[in-house]
Amino acid sequence: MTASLQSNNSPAQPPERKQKTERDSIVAWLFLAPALLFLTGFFVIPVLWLVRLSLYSRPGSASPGGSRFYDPNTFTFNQYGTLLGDAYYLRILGGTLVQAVLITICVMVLAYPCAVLIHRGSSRFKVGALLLVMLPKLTNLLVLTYGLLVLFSNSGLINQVLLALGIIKEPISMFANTFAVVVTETVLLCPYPILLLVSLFERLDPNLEQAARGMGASPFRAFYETTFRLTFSGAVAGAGITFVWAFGAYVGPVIMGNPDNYTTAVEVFDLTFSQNNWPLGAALAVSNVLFVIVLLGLTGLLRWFIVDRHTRRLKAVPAGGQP
Amino acid sequence: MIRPVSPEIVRSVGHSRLAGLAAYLPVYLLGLLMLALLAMPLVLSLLVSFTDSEIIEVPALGSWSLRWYERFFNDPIWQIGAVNSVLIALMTTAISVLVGTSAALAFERFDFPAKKTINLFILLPLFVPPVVLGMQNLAWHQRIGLWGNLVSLAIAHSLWAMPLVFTVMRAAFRGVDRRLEEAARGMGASPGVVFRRITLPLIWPGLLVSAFFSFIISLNEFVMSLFLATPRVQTISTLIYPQLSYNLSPLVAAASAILLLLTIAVLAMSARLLNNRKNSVLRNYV
Repeated sequence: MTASLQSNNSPAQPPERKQKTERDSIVAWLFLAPALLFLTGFFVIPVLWLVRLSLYSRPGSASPGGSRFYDPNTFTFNQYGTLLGDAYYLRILGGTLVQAVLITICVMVLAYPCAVLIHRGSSRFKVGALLLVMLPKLTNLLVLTYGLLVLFSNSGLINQVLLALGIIKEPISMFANTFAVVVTETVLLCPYPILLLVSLFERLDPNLEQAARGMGASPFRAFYETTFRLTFSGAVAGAGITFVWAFGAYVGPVIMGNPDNYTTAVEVFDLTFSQNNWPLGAALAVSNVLFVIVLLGLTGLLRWFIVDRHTRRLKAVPAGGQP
Repeated sequence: MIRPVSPEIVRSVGHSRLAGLAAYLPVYLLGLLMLALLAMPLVLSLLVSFTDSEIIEVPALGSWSLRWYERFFNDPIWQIGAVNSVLIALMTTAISVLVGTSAALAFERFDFPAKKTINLFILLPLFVPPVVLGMQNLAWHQRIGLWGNLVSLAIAHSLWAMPLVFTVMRAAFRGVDRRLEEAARGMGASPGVVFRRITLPLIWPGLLVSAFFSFIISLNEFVMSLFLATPRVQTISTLIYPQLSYNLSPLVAAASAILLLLTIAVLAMSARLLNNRKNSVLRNYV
């Protein structure tokens, strides 16, 4: 049984065993079939159809018999021309990029210390804090956003407290601006890097930092030279994931922002539903994916150049502390 | 290379513990700020849902009321939305658990070519932004005439739930002691009997976790739902959304709180069932 289950390509196999391996392989494909068919039918073909849709021209009065959403029997790159030629879309792309970078910085500045805090807490604190970090991922985006709205609006909790304390005379505007969008997306996206970093910290040798301290390093230096440097590449990976999601942000900009904060994701929805221009919406969605893929490729290169050099120095030192 | 640590060094490390804490203070404060930012919205939307007044405010002690929940459950629009949400979540659970578990079984019990590539392929939808998934599903479901059907939303949600079930179930299958299966086979049990009597009871906790997570993911998914919902097919999420932009009544807080409470209930239930299950599985062996 065991032999038949494991791939065994040695030529000395008896023929009946080889036959059995082949039969097992067929059974394996049978078990895989539902997943492959499901993903092909509802993920791969839709992607291809999305690309094809972006190459139709939009339904005009010229084609009364055509579909409501696109003009069949057309093939044109006009939609991509529109996206590249119109300063409006380029501005949205630029805005989305800047906002995503801002969100990523905020997430990392808060998530890294949070992961340190969780890692160093007592085991009971750890469980509670990790549950708290997981919960937003399992609850509805809208529930979280609603809570932040209650917190930040002009009649919201923060403004009320500040007014009651006499610190401010008029409510500060913490809503419908970039600040609100960045805070909201920070809360929505922080679970990924926090969980990633905590799992990295748990794998570190706790004696490493103590050893550095024992050899006379200041607390900051000890932390930087051991913990920080060893988790830096993980932190960069976390920032990469955060950036991808921040770039595709929809809920934060729409509910907490003003039209200046609208991202390409918002524009896809707007083109599709408000302007009923499915081909242009599809073209923007396709461009969005291509852009993220290119950016991820660049990040990979960056990681290769900076991070690997960064950690190589540390790895070059023989691990003296560990037997 | 390794020298014994002198007592002075040990003492100096002990003395500087306070200094270490002071150095870490900014880090801890930032960390606490993050945790507060995570907790506040959930707590606030829960609190506001119990308000007695017409506007959004945290209720004062003594003026708690369930009026907004009453309004929620008596409004036919929200009723239909709630039923749709639960139906879609159940369908998502069925699709994801069946498809994902079957694929996980193939990965953990058989060998076939291109395993790594197929693994990546199954996990790929998790890395596609929801707006893109929503748009491509909308376009395709419109083309094949599925648009405006509850199944359409369940399929979209399964694109996220199924890869997660796949990951959880691979771990579950890996946790099963293969010698138990082989022993049963050796004693003449057919593969079907082995699966039913040995493997299934052992992977049961994984199946439960998978099912609950699929349910929760579907229940709370919003952006894909927004693309696929039509005026006739709405979920709680797509009903909350326009209310957030135009009309901020505590009714939205009640709807949010119901989603939140349902999620917590499902999580608590799975934790409880898992606990019981672990005990009973153990009992079978003792």
